[in-house]
Amino acid sequence: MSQNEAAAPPQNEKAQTQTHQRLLGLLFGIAFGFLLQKGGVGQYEVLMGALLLRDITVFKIILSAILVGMVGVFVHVCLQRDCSLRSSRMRGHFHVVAKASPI
Amino acid sequence: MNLTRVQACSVAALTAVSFSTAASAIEPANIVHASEPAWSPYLVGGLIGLLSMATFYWSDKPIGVSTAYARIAGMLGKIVAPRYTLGLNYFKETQPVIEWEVMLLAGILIGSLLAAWSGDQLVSRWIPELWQTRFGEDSVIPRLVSAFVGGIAMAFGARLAGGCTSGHGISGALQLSIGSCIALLCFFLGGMAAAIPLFG
Repeated sequence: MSQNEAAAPPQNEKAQTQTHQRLLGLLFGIAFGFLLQKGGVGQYEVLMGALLLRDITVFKIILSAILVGMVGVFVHVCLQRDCSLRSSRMRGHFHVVAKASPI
Repeated sequence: MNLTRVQACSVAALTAVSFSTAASAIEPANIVHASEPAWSPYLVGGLIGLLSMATFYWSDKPIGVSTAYARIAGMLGKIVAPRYTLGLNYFKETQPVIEWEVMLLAGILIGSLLAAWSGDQLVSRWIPELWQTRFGEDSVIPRLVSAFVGGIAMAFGARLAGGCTSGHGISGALQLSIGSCIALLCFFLGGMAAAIPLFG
């Protein structure tokens, strides 16, 4: 899957890729907004509760998101190091991590 | 190109399945108070973590919205003063166009509307209950003014820091970026410093 994508996409498909990415962005946004509201962080009382140290819902959500998301990032970094999987698409965010954490 | 379409469909299917299973498994039978969260915060946080993996994998982007605000401001600037706006160095790098992140922002509004609507959390009022008990019923205008000014301060601060609560607090912190961890801590410290004298 990833190898097909990495094999030099033609120039005229660039605009189409952008449209697809916009659509993906919308889908990801819908999921994110849905989760935020279901988790209660769309509500004034819950957010203010965090700042007034009366309600730790916000901290529970942020910390468990960090905990789960971190696994993906570091699995990716390990894969990239061994077999340089998807290295052409994933510059930027991950390279910084890989350089900064010597094993 | 079929590949991207397949990926988009699989993301949609995956999220739909996870929502429905999660909703039936975790959602409490009776939500007494409107401000009680509908789903367990650990479940929501875990799913946001998975979502963050998905955005990195399929879009090579971290979840974050503050750049989208800058882009939208640039789009407005293009209407009012096109030459000046496009001459700014920031907008040469961060072009004021509708792209992934702006669509993410739009999606967040739609998604939260869907969640509130499906969970009977839609309320129609000008001021939140907490504000009303503190500042009284006829404090609509102070609330709107403070929300507007606060919004400006938040956008300014988020751009100054290079990220918002999602960009630094979730996407940055899960990469163990030291700057993001400091930013996350300071978001809450700053918020507490304002909230506790006002409401405490």
